[in-house]
Amino acid sequence: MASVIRILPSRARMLELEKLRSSIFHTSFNPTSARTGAKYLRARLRGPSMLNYYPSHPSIPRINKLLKHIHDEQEIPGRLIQLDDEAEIRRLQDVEALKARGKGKPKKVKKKGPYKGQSKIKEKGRGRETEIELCSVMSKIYEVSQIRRPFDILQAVKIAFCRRLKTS
Amino acid sequence: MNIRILRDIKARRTVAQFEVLRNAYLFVARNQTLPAAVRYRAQLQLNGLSRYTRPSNVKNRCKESGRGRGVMSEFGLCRYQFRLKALNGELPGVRKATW
Repeated sequence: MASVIRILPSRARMLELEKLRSSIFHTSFNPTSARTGAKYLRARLRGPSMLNYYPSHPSIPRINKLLKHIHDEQEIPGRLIQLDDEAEIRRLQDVEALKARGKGKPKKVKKKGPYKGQSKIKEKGRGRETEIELCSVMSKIYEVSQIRRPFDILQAVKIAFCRRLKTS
Repeated sequence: MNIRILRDIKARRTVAQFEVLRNAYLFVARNQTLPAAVRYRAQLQLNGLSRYTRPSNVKNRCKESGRGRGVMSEFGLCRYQFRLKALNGELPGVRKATW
């Protein structure tokens, strides 16, 4: 009985096969299993569903705000219609009562010498704009990624980022 | 509705707003095929983002009382609010067990 000896092809040959396969089926070829960070691009966006957790109750201040917004936006002639907010009226009355008893809010002290509190450094101007720009670019990339061509997208993002980091 | 719920709503809004940008920075920072200098700068940008942009900062609190612990995910209520509502018959299909 003749025994059949099966010899596997060499590793290099197998890699060649993998490469060819990935080029045909548009999958990524990553023989060293390097981390490409693709999972962050592939992940679905969680933000939109996060927004709907708490139910939104219509409250009087909110309705008043909306009425004011409509009034200002459309420039309707006549009086601004506002609902009576009992809680707010009561609060203001309480504040007045406290003030009358000399228990009101203390007056602000004028600053003496350098301000010793924490100072917040806010980035303004160009940096913020490029961020927004980048955001719009990325959202477009996300739209494209629905078409399932991750390989091209990865390249596009890589190029976009290298360019941005160079310029900034 | 209390301050903790308001803070959580703020976090949710910020997460939704910055999610794409954050994912983009994460992609660059975690990508081993990119040069180390580029990855480092992306990581610095990530560190500079507000803590409210982190999705893990968002917590499902009790919708009624804002309690952070003992919240049943199915109803979004903490155990006490759940009991009150269930006994009031405000939760369809929920009955007090007797045997």
